Amino acid sequence: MLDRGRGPALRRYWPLFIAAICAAVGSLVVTPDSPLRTVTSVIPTAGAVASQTDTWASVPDPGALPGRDQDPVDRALSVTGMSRSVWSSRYLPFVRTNATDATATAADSTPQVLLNQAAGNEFRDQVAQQFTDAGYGVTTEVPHWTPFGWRVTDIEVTSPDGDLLGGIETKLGNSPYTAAQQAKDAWLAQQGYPTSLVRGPYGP
Amino acid sequence: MTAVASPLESLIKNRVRPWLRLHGYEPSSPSGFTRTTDDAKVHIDLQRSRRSTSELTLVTVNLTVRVQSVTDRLARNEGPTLEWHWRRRVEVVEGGRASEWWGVDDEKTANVFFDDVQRALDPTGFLLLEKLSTVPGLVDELSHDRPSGLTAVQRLSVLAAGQSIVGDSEAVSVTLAQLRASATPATSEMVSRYLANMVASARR
Repeated sequence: MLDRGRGPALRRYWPLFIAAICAAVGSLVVTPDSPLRTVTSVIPTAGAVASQTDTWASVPDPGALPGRDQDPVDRALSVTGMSRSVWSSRYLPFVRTNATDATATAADSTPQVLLNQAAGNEFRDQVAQQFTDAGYGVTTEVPHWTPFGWRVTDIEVTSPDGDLLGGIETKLGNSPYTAAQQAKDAWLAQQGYPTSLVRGPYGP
Repeated sequence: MTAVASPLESLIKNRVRPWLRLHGYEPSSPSGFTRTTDDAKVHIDLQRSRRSTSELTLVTVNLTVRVQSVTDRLARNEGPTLEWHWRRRVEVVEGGRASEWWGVDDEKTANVFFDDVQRALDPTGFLLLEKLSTVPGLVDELSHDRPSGLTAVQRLSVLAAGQSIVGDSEAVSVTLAQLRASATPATSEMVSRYLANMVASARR
């Protein structure tokens, strides 16, 4: 009755699954920055590295990703029948806007810190989308209490069976995985909540 | 000079607070509400996204339940330290797509958010939260394959604690065996200690 189906196998192969997701994205790098787990490294494609000219450019063009012949927003819209504006105003965190367009209009006037933040959000959504496409459940910005302060997990992943597998911290470029974050994640891991780090391509 | 309240702040003050008070939830923070029973605390928290802007607030609703006797049992047996024993987010399925974030930028979108949350919680959600605020109710919920916001190690630890409180020693044995099988390298030490303590206290 309490058999959890594929749960144990999924938990065992959790790091490999993350690596597979990253391989699907094509230009992400999973780095074993944290001592918490062993994660397979995926080498970024040469094209992805060559295309990096700034932080924004380091975000892969969704259209160039394998199997992505259409923007996810457009795909979602075609399913829901809603207009882009309705979708954007009500469900913005799931909306992946065209990074290139956004960069072109925003780069001149927006402070770099905000551009970096937006690129980080874009990258996080990209990783989350990969899990969703693979049939996994994702929850974003999940707060967890720790003795060192609150930790907001970027992405929390649930298996198709409904098992909560753990959290994913997404980092883009040289964004630091700080000591405080690592301490909180280490504590959460001891309490049964593992966190894996997925790092996007480094900047030039 | 008085700051103008945002649409979300106005909504919380004028609609959310009176509505939740009717159901026994008292404000515990600017955007959090708590219902306290003899043995449990149930939280409803409106969480703002880090992606919110000055024009648009992105908001989601976290539901958490913490049962004090379970907390005590876990602590006594050196089990995992958990802030809650059950957690979900309010979700709305629209056009075949589940969403847990709302964009609030004016009174109209604020009302859409409130109506969605009200539909999700009243009465089904409130009844579930009431059930979960008792040990037997929590045990029943965690015994089934339903999302609980807990990883396998956490869920089985909480379940074993609950089962031992209600005196179901046969179920405790089964759950502890499953917990042993679910332990990961990061949790093996904690799980071993917890198992040993649970077995020792069952013998006493």
